Amino acid sequence: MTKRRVTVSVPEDVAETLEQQPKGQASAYVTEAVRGHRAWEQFRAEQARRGVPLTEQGMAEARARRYELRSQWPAERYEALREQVRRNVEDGQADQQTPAA
Amino acid sequence: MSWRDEERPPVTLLLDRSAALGYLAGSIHVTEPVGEVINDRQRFGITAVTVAEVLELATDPKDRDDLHVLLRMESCAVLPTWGEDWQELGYWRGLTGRADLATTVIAALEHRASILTGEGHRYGEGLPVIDLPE
Repeated sequence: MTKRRVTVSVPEDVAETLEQQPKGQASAYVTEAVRGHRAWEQFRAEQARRGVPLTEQGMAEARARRYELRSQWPAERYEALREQVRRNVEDGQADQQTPAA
Repeated sequence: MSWRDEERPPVTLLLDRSAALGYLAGSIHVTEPVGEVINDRQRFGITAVTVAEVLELATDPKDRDDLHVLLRMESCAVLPTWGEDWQELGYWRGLTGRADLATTVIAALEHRASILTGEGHRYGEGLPVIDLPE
């Protein structure tokens, strides 16, 4: 990807954060932040166009539900379930039961 | 957009057919969970097979336009189902009763993501499912 050098002015606290990044990582830090913000603005604008209201409370509740589920599903649980299904299908034991994850 | 794959945020939420249709219907119970994922600097996903199913069911041109806009968002990942996964696909097809749901399960396990659905009963127990309110 082509990259361009740009000069921007930022508040002191932002400058300090960028300076604290590992060597060569400040640009990646800014890039990630800009893309994340842009994606959010894109989504919010689309919902405004559609007339679908987004509420802070609703999103906070949705995040709490997702994070709770994520706490119950560490990476090891996903891997264990995939491995168990692979073993089942290799053994011809696809018995249409959800394996205990 | 020209992100390289390794730069892309993780996919942490999968929309199945019912969730995608809920989005098109303007359900806040779908839009807010998707919004919070994006606001959390992550991506949501939908399998290509699910997209095909939704396109078949969404006959209103406005809904189809909204779906196209959703799929073009940089925070949306349209996910493949790989040929090498045919055995697992068959397993989950048998369990869920539908191929599109099977692709959603496989994608959720691959990405370690949760499934947003209005058809939680189809997945049985023991999968990372977030149920939409009835």
